[in-house]
Amino acid sequence: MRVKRWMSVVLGVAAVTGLTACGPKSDDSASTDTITLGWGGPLTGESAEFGQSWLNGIKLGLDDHRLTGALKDSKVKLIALDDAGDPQQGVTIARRHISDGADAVFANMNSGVTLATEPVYHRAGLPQLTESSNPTITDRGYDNVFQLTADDNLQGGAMADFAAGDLGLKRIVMFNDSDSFGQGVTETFGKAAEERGVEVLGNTALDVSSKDYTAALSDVLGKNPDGIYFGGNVTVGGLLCRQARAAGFTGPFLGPDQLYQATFVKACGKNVGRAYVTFQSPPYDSSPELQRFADAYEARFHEAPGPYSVYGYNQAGFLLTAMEEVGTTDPAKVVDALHGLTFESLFGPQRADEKGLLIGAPLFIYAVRDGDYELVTRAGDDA
Amino acid sequence: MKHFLTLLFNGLTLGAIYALIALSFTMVYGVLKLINFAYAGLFTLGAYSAIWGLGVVGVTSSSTLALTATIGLLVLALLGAMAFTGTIGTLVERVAYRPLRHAPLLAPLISALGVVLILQNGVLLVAGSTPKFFPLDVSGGGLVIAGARLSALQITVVPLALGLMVVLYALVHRTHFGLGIRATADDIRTARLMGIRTDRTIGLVFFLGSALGGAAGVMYALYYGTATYLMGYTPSIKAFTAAVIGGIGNIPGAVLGGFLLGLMESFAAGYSGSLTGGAIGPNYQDVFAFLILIAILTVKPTGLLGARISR
Amino acid sequence: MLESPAETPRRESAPAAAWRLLRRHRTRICDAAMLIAILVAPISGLMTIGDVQIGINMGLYMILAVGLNVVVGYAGLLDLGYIAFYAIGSYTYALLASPQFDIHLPLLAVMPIAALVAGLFGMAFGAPTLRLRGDYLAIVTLGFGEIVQIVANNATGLTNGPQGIYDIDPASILGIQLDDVTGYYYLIVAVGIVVVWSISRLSRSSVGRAWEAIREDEEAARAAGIDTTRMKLLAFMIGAMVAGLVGPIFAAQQAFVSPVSFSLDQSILVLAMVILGGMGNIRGVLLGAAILTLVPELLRSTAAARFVVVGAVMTLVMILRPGGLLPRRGPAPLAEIDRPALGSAVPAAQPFVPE
Repeated sequence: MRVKRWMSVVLGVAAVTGLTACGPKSDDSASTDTITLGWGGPLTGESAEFGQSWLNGIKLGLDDHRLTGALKDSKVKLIALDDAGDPQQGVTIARRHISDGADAVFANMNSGVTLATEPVYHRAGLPQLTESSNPTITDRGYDNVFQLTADDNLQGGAMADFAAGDLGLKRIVMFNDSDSFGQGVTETFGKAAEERGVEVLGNTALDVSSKDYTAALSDVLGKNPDGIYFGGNVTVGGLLCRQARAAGFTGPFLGPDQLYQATFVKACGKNVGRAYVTFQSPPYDSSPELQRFADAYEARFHEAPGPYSVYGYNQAGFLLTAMEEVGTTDPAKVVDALHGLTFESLFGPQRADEKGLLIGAPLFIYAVRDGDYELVTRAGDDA
Repeated sequence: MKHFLTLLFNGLTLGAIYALIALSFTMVYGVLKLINFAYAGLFTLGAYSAIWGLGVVGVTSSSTLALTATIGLLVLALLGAMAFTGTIGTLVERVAYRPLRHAPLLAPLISALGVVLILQNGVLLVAGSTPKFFPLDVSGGGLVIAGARLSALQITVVPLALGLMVVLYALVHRTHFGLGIRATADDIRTARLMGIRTDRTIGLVFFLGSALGGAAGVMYALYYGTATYLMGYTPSIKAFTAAVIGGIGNIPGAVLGGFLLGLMESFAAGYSGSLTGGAIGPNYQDVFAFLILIAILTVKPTGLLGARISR
Repeated sequence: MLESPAETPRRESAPAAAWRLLRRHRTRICDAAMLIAILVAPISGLMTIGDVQIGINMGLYMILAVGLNVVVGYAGLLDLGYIAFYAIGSYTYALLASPQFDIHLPLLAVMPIAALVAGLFGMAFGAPTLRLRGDYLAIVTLGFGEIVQIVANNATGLTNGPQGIYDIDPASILGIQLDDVTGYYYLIVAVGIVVVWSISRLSRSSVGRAWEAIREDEEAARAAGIDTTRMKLLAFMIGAMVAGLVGPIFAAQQAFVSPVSFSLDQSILVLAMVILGGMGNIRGVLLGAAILTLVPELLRSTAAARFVVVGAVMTLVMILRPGGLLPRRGPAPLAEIDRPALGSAVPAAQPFVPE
């Protein structure tokens, strides 16, 4: 009996000590010797592979960037913490990064998590570079948020143009993966397609926990569409493509940048048929920088880059260049610098507008051919 | 008609896989009164070990093989994976459950949860988060019945699953060893008094159940083409549900429950859109499944076929 | 000289007397020390904002664990869908204090409403299903949890679907807005103290004794005249109301809710806290909640490995201390495996055999 009581005391003290001791204390962030960057994203859970892919791109980008000017002797320290796609963990990470003296953060990837962490980072004034593409994120008036990635509006619209114009499709059905990215991008596609006279036969939300969409497909394909647009992540997209082909659908399968990765082609299986995706980057072999990036990524991480890898690479360079411009890591100055900077990314010159949206981010339409992606045409805006 | 048949074939295939896992649950439950959540991990290990094993002998997604070679390799991979997961399962029983045989009732549950976390995240650490692709593909060919496709894959998976179930049933009800299992399930003290080596019996039951779980994982990866570290999570929950619908502890019940659940999901997903004019889509299929489950249990609280393994 | 020790009792020295007093009241002293530590820590300068946030997370889980403990630990009902009530509470606040419908009620007003709504759902759900035993109840509660999450994800008109509801009003107590973490921390501590105290008293009342009787042997309890169905429903509802009560605090602090926060994983996590800590023992479940919040947080930088460690901790603790870290006092429930599972439909073959 006595042992139990004392054990509870010991454990209780341990708990309180744990509370007070966990997490390193604030660093002196005014010093320019170390640039402390926080990263928050999913490394476990359903989105783990995308979070990892994004993180890898950032790591490569940070390592490849040689600092100049006042910061040339500074070391870059990246603190990567897993948010598991959970808003609460994202917020906890946010507060930890702030307490750890981060100068800027790459956070988060899942839209829901970013929506929760934005106010926290905003109040601390830290530059927040996010990979979430949901338009709401840049609509909240937070000047420290930068969405340096293809946003849903652009992707949906660009593919709708292509589908109606180049492919001449008349009846399209849409599927989404019941997540905010998927729903967002299918909504914009649907609207844009209808404006071009395409009949949109519905938007079916799929149950992601089940991998089986045959039933939903059977229902929808009975309406005889001539094209499918899928909005959502590649896990669901690949399976849907495969099952659609197995069900006998031969029309074009369309999707956003999530589907620009080897996983999609492989998941779809041998019978990919005609598939088109929008992606923000020119082909990897179209410029020596891009090719070098793809090769370096493959060498270091032993797999082909995902779409978020190349975005992450650019984001890393964008941030460090902004810091170099003002010669300091002071958050307020860096935010200003980020707004004014024209950055030479792997895709060419890019800027962030006053809302933090990316300008100078043309979209490209790719076709899947022989297990790889072939550029079809260029779409989207120029800055 | 085409739509109906497509849903039927699909539901049967899904059901076969659920039935396999439900069998694993029900066998272990019948003997140990334990809900073995660790199956989520064993399921995943089955798939990954098969893919790894095939890779070791040089079979990858880019290989092209004749049909006979494919089937042969599939059977080999299946057996290998089953042996592997069976062994791991037996180990899990010895380490995580046997010490808790006489423990308060929910302790083994939490121990099982701990095991799942270790297994799943262990796979994540070792194999990474990028999905792995099952290198064998039987998606070509098949039959067309009244316009609905019955793919070669479905023709492969369903008989395989049924075959395993028949073997298991025969094992439990027609062999001496099976008699030992049923005795242990009925009354472990008496069984022990009668000279049955209950510890060994339980260990073997776990081996069998885990092997089945691993087999289900391989078939799932074959059918859908990919394996990810969380792949076992949802099928395990569904299979547990199926086992309960059929009457937990009851082998035919698990099979019935598995097929029923697969069919329910398929038909719910396939007809919900048209029935409700798009208001409720396939994303609600789980809701339907659970509502039907609740309805069944309200009417028959011990499941459709009752609860005991020995009957 | 033969002196009988009984005739001349030794005079106790002052330190010895003090030590004896300390030992006699050790539980109360421990509790008091913990309480002081909890109250003082955030303002002591030892904790960063990150730490206080972790404290908030821990506090919320602790209260949830206390609530689930009523259902699982006191009444013996295996609930795998508990987080649904937390969801209901959180969304109630999100709908009543955000731009979603442009209603803006204060937090302290919404909390009792949310608790009530959750309690009503608990009653609606529990009434037809609590007759089920053991694993059947587990599945059905799991189903309920899944249904709530799926509906939240798809009833876009009401809940905004997967996008969630953002810009939720911060809490405002007596006109002072709680903008930062420290305010929420103390709010949670205050609510937690009230909840723990109430549940503790409840467990020692006749209601608590009735639950104990049901847990030990439901047939006998019924034979003794206890309305077991009613008592089980009461436990279920009280558990639901506790979760519903603190849901609003969660929503206000995060200023955002989405269905993703209320998954089956979360229900299982809270259940693990209860069982790991010690079912039926309030101090135990508080400790369980603390450990299962702190361990993954301390190891967060290791990503996947932290879950392997958590899993190992769970399995190890169960093997070493099957009753939980701080087991419930009193006779342990029957443990032989030939006794039917927790409330299974098949009645026990042999009579009650105390361990």
